[in-house]
Amino acid sequence: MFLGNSFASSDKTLVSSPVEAKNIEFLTVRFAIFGEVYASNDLMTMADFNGSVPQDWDFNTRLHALFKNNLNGGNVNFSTDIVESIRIKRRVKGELIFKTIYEKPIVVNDDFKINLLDYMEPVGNIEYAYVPIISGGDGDYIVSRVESKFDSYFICEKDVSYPMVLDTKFIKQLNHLVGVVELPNRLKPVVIKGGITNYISGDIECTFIENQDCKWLIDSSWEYRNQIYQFLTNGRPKILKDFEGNTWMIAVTSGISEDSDHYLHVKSKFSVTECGETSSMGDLYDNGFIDTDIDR
Amino acid sequence: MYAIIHPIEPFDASIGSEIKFTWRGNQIYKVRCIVKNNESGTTVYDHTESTMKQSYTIPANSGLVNGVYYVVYITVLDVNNNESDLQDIGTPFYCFSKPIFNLSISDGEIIQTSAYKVGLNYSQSQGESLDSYSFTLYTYQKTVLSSSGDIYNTSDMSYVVSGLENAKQYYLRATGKTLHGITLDTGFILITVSYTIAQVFNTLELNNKPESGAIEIKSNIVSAIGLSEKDVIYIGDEYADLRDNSVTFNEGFEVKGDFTKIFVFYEPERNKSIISFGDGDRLKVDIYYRKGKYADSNGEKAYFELVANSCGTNYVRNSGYVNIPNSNYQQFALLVNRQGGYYDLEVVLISTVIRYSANADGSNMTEARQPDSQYVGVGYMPKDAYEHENLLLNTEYKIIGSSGTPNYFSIPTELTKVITNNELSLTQTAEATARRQCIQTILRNSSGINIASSAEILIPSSTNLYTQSSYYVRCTDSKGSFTDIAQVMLNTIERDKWVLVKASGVTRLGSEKLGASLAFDMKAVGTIKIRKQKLELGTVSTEYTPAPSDWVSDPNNYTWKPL
Repeated sequence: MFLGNSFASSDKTLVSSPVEAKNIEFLTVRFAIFGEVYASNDLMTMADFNGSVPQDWDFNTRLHALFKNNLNGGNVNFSTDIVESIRIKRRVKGELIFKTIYEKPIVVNDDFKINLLDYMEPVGNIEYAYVPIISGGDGDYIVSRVESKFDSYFICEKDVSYPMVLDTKFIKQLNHLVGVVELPNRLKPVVIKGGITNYISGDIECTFIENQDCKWLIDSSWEYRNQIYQFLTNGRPKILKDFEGNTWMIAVTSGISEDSDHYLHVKSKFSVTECGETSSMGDLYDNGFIDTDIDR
Repeated sequence: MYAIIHPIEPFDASIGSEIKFTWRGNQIYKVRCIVKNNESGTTVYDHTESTMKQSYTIPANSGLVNGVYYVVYITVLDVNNNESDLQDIGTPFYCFSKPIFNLSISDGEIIQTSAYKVGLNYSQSQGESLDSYSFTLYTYQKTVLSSSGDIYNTSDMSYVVSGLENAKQYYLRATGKTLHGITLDTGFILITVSYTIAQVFNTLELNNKPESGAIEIKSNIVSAIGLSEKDVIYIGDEYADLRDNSVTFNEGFEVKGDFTKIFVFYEPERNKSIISFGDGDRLKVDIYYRKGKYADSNGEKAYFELVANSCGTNYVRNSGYVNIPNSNYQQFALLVNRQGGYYDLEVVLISTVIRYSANADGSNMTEARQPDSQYVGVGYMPKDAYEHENLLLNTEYKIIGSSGTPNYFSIPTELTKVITNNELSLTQTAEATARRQCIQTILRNSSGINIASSAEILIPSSTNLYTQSSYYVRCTDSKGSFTDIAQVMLNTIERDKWVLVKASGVTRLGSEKLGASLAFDMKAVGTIKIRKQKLELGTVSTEYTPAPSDWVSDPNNYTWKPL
């Protein structure tokens, strides 16, 4: 040691000892007039540096403070100090307003991160909005659009979905209850519609075999099938959706029967009846598909 | 029998309104309208009008007052002046002045995003509250695309219109109703959408997952707001004065692994750690500003020293030397790289410009401070000024033309090789018989592009020009045919002073060569001087941007403060 410094730890030494590459969790600037502070995980070549600072955010940008009358260093202008919660809202084709499907209270900065799967969406163009809630009201919407596209039937709950690909049949009928009354002195009967019921019911037939990385796992299909039977018989409503854009909130109303022409080819059959509206946030909440009923 | 009065929407007393009623008796010849103040019961209006219609129009300025609640009674008179019964209970209505109800966006405005939050302004001078409102987005053909539905929350009157497609036009419209039933309508507001597509990064990332029939929703939100030691003084909406202050980013800020950091700043304090970062525990990196005369620095220079300390191990790294800023307003741009456990840093100076003037508006400014200088101007040259290369630099002047002799124009020998911003004096010693051109540069394959040229020209009053004398850019094709663009006629220039001339244009299609030319002729012996020539070239059609020399010489580009 010499004057508190190791001989191997100075700019004049032949070998400079590296320090631990720990995560950087704070950055302080002081004793100057600052115009820009920028941090990124993209390494820039020192020889190419001409003083210009990348202006576009990308996935590797960690901080970019421009000091335009504020100390914002992120890509949004809100912070945990003012945001009570964030909401994810969805607007599907044909709907006029965004409806909340997810809400998360904000306590620490990490809470701003969202990573979730929405199984309830139909086929078509869908818009999602990330909305900070400030003083009880909606802050600026961050809106993105995506085209939802899939090729088979899916039956799902809030956090799980099962595709129905092989031998799938959905034989359905639209029910509306009417009574036919034959009166003694009348040639034709009287037809009475007593209520406003209007719902789908029907039978679903499918061979359940799991597909992993484009391979059908035929040998373990019995295990997969049993898992789906547990799912179908847990008593909770499901969402059934098809590749054309139809979605139905259904309940399984029968037992599950099997039909097999080979021990590895088992067709399962069960009945379903519609029990709610997939476009109704109240129905979605009441049946456990979403955790928030703000837009009921 | 009495007339049945239809419900009456509140109206502006200064405009009046039509009151409709239904009458099933004899034919109407006259209609009498009685209006009473609801609170006091006093009659404030009683008039009879000859009409056969089942309506009565309360005229403008009838004596009714906005903000007051009234009741109205209507009777009808037949041809014999038999008057119908008066209603037992009058029909109430309010008078209110016309509310202000408009969108935050004006008609014809251009929106530069696919999702836009539009606001709504409402006010009514008598305090009539807004009950509900709705926003509707229409196509250009006025078919409804989306609507907010009726909104009753009046604390935040805004709506996000989304899915706006680039280069399309839409109509936005808001309608509403006040508490007492005034219908409101902003009318159709035309908006044009224009934005740059294909920004891959999105703060809200959505991925279609066809194998699970789901949409993955991921946020790429970085919320990092710096905390200051004390209130921050901002300079010119672009700088934070931290000479006696500090700002720390920690909440929401985390950098793992290798990174690049860039800092732009000026007036750092010598020998102070102006930047520090670390993990808050075992790693701390400080960057110090050093300046002085060093054995290998060839005069006084500045550099930055990085000291990274981890568990007693110091890793030290210096930047290269840079010149001491020639004023406190010149900025440092410091780049710090970390790769593994190794750090490196590079510093460059980037330009800010400082000028002095005796006047608060910067007129007659000078580069150096003069005895009468009262004000200092600080200008931050925009990047687009110095990003446009002056294509005339390092090119040669040549005289072309089939007739004439070199002594038509006398070009100083020292300027025939390389063109700089120095003054070039072109002198004619005999009367010209045709135009002469000085060609400075040739660019190849310059077809259909934007150019902008500028120069300072001085023409003494004694110099006698032909009317066609001009400064221009010549586009020439392979066959030698040409078109002149960005032309400035020299006989329009004020004499006996340096005049900045600017012009821009698009080179013609098929141009193979581009030459900036000064073409003129004089009837008698005379001189024309030219200096500070600039020819800028862009690959896309953009507006003219100033050359650095233009930018520097304009006092409006500086913020002037007393010395």
